[in-house]
Amino acid sequence: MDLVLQPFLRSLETGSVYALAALGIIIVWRTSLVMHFAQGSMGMFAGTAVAFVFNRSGMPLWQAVLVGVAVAVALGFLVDFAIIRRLKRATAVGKEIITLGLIMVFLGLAPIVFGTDPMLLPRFIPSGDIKLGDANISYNGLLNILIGVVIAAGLFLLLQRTKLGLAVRATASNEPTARLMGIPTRSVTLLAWALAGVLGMLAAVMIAPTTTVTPTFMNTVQVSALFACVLGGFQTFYGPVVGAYLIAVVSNFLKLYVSSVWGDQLMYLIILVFLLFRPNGLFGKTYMQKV
Amino acid sequence: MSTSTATRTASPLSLIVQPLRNAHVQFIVFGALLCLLPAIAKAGGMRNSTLSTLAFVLIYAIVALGLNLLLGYSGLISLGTAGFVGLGAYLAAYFQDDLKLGFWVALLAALVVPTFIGLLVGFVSLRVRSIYLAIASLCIAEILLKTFEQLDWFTHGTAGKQSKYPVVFGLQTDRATMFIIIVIALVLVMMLTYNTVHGQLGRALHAMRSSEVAAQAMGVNVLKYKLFAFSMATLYAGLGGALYLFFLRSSYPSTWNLFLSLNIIAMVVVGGLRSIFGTVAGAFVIFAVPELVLKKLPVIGDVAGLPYIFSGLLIVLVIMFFPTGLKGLADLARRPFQRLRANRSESGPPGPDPSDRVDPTGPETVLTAAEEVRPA
Amino acid sequence: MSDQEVLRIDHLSISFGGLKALDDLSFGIKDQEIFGLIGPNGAGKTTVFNCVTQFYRPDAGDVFLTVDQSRLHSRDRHLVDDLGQARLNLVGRPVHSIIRLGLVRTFQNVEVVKELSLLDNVLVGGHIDFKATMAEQIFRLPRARREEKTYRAKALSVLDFLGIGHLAGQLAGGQPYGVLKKLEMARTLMAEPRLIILDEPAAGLNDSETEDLAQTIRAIRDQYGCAVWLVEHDMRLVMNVCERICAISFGKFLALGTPSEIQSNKLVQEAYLGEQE
Repeated sequence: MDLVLQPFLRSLETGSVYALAALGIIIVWRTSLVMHFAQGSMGMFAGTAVAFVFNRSGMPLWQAVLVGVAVAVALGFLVDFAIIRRLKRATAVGKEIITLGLIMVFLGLAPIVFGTDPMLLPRFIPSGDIKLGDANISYNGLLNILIGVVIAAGLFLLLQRTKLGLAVRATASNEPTARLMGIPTRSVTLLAWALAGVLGMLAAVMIAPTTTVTPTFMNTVQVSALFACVLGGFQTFYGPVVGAYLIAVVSNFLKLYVSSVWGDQLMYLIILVFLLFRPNGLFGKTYMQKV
Repeated sequence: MSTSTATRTASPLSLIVQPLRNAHVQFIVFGALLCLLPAIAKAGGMRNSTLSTLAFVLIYAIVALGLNLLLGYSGLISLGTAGFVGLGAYLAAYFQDDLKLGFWVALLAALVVPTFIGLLVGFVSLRVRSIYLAIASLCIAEILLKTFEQLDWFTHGTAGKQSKYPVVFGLQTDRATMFIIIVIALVLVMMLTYNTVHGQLGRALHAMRSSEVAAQAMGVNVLKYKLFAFSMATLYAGLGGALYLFFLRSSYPSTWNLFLSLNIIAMVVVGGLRSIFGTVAGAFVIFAVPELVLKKLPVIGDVAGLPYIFSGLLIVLVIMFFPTGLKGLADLARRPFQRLRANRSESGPPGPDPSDRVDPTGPETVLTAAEEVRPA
Repeated sequence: MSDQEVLRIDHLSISFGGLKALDDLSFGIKDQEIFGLIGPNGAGKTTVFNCVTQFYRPDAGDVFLTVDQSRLHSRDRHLVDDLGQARLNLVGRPVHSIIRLGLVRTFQNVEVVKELSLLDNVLVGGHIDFKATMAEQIFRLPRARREEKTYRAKALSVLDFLGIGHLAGQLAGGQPYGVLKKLEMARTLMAEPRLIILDEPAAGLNDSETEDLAQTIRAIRDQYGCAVWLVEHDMRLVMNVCERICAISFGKFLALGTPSEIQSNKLVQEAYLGEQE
């Protein structure tokens, strides 16, 4: 087995999962300036819905994922429509604490709605792998990497090249001005929350085959996605994606070559030390506060 | 004004009421009343399990008071509270039971080490955006949780660390005396917190919360005061952890997860930011109501996730509809009485300390802000 | 007024994203002078303030402040001249350290703590005077209590001086704009500064309040012996109260002189007329 290429390929797989979750966080941050702490637990809820539908109805996985998309969009709409949008006077801190409250709500709701038994979710492509020298990667792993890269690239194109992307970027840079210029910022924000939900659900469905579907199965993904945003900086959409892959690679190699137990913890420490030297992240710029 | 006050103090009722205006006297009276609870339990007026639940309410109230200094005065969120409480608990157990250094050394260790780590984490993360503290503290909480699970010689891993009631001043404590020690700690913490926010220190914190830019222009070193608020939060967390261990005499890693941290935030939000009694009440609502009330409800009482939903929904609803929390509720209830008293004395009542009152232009400035605040 | 300069701005430049907000700007303010900085919208007036008080770090140039020996940190003591003063370059110093050197500012959109009383707000301005450590304050040790008493009295006298002493116990939130403006000035006076910077003090005030403000500014200078530097749009106030005025346009120096000299200056007239077209 190739002891460099093999863990690297595995890292790309988990990196894609982290990247999708991080994109969800960053898109909400850029449109509402709110740190979306509930991204992981909303993804967990929608992902558990996929597992529930798949296990109970016997429908094909891709159909169950479509149900998951519907659930995720509905959740995103609901959170923005019923809560975030009504918070006329809430500060960013107030909204962030609300997303923290939502973590508990979804965590408490999941076992009530879907039952307390842990569920399993299979891979999209059950078997088969490709040899790359001494390393190998499963078709499903390849698909996961592809999904991550395609969605990230697709989002960049959407944001940079389309009118919708322009609206999102305008909302991100200055919401009141964008609203005055006739951009439907409310729809943009609504879309951002729904998109975040779908990205979280996809991340959940992709990570689920490696574990069992319980209310806490997205915890590592959520934590890694937050750190990916810190590492990549909050000012760009590509920074967190790069951060996500980097975190996956570093964590995998630390676990393999340094300590299988303390790998993640070492990486967290590295991130803290990194913050000391580049507080705005890899691609972040220092920004000037207007006085 | 002073003459009318003098005539009113002549009545015997005022002789009791007047000293109660002093916040420190209020805290001591509150503590004295709490000290009656173990006796009531002993006499059969209350179940021992209820007494234990209340002890945990008081312990978490101490922790929440620290977080309230952080969140209420600097708008900073910590997601690492549980980690620091757990660290305090394990340190207390290690120094008392493994090193046999006694109650006071154990307590000191539980105070100093988490505060020191908190200072380091704060220093790293507070120089950028405020939200970085939340993520950095989450980082440290993850590291601590793993440590609790893996570091066998220190924590006894997932099997759990066992301890015993401490000997304090040569006296072997038990459930009732530990309860009283917890009450004393809480009252001390309430008094120190009051002092903290009512002197120049508090004014600097207020200035920072209101406008960091203006505070800096007035010579307030914003980083220093944020660090101060965060280290107070970790100090109180460490104290809470030590008391937790001395009271329960065991600690398991699974206790110190993110949801405890979120529950502490819920206590602060529900109780009301920057309110001392409110925080204690918030701790009661978040910790005791699920234990004492929700569990006993028919049908839904057995649902495992119910306490989570309860805390989570309360956070959402309070911020949406009543951001001043229980403190604001108490102010609303008191208003008719204040008006009554104002009508009775011509020159108006001396009134409580102005910082204890609701801001007339908008109740909150950390969770919510008046709309015109946003500069063009 | 002596001829000694309290502040010297020396070849100051800063640009934001390629746009030069200040371009090689130089001028000085004399001791105990009432000095005005004017210019059309977007001329960079507030940017000058922010560069002086170190909220912005200028790309080039220096800002020298004349500081009394008593205010100096021990490491700067060697800079002291025969008169017991030192000229310190402010560039690069932390924002919160500037007030200690005797320079303090107000803000365009009044920044007071709404939840605190007027008295407490003024005490915030005395922050640098409090020597009691955090621990002394938390445990209410004698020094903390003594300082609280001393500075409370001082804050009251400042409020009285500005004619709002009767409101000392009231919350700042909900007070009329004129009171808040005075409160901000009271807060600056707590630090007994050598130079006060007022950022558009007349904005939002009516005619009689503006007239009152002019008198207050003079009274502050006479009573506290400090220089006052204001940025202002209200030309009547500037021409009425300032002894010297500097005009800038697009971050560049235009003219410096007495109010009448500035009023008759061709460049200044062009800059303002150009704006009206």
